[in-house]
Amino acid sequence: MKQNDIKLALIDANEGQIEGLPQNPRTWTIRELAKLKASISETPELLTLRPIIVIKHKGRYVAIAGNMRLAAIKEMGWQSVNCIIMPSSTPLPTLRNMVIKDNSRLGSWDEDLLKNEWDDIPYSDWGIDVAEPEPEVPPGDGSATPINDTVTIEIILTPDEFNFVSTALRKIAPSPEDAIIKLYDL
Amino acid sequence: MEITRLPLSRLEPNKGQIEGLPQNPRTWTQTDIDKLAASLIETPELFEARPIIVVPTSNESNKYVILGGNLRYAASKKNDARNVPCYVLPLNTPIEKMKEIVLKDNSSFGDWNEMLLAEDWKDINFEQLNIYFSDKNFDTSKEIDPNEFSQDITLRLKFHEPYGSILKAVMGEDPKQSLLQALSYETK
Repeated sequence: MKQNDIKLALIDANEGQIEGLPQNPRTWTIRELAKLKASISETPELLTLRPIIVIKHKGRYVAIAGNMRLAAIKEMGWQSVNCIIMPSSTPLPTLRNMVIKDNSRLGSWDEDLLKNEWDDIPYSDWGIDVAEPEPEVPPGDGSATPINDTVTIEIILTPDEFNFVSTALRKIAPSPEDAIIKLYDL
Repeated sequence: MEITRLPLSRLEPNKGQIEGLPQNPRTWTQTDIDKLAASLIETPELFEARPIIVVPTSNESNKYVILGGNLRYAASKKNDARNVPCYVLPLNTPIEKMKEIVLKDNSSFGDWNEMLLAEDWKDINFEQLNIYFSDKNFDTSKEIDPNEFSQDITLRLKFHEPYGSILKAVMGEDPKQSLLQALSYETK
């Protein structure tokens, strides 16, 4: 496995351009991407410790792992990034496993430890999927409303409508939420 | 950074032995260890690409505390691995940096695109990797046979703010009608 600085202009997201390797099955929102950008600015070292993994393809490079980080640093104006370059001889099943496994995680957060010993951590800004601590309400102010990060919209559809909607949304974007955001021009 | 191969006997899980660095806030079951142990054997290349991140306990000692990869250490023990790939951070790494590395190495942004997973990645043993699909009723990746599925289906969408509030306002009182119109659905 080689490791090298590669110009970002030469690295493409995995859009399924390698025969036998499906496109990256991850999705993200603009807001999450903004959080990742802030996190990378704070801890750029992590990109050296956990580099984007690429493989050469038709004179360019395709990102096997780190597609979201690639999108983030492209937006941040980086010119190049240190990457792990997989040998061209890497078998497809290995590449497929790497795509999924680099994004999966066994074990879970010990929320008690996080809360008691790792205080002052902005969980959601760091991509830590646990409930944020309740914001402290100043004494005497009972009117404070909790801050909610997400809004749920429920749409009840007949099976026919559901099939129509899911097919139509999939043509716009991989996740139904992103598709609707695009559909409504937000 | 250069990979150093270290024998497991020289690694210590992060139990809070470094002044100022709390213990590893991750927890796991024996099943998790077994699953990861099998996964490491199946895809050793990923271990080489994602070494365990360690920091020396002191100048004199030849022991290292694990910042990133405590579970992989446990799984490697189960596999009777002789040594494991490691990145050794300098002894003078600031505590704040170590904290960021411990937490951020375990966090992630973004979500699975379940439609793509279900369509293109069928050969992956999702359960082995603790990847679970959300409620099938909301799974937009599959066509539903109206003959088999006669009841209505709830499409539950979660939007980050400010999109959620804006959409609620734009879609109005009848979000279904609004969405069908936006997609120019023709009622039969």
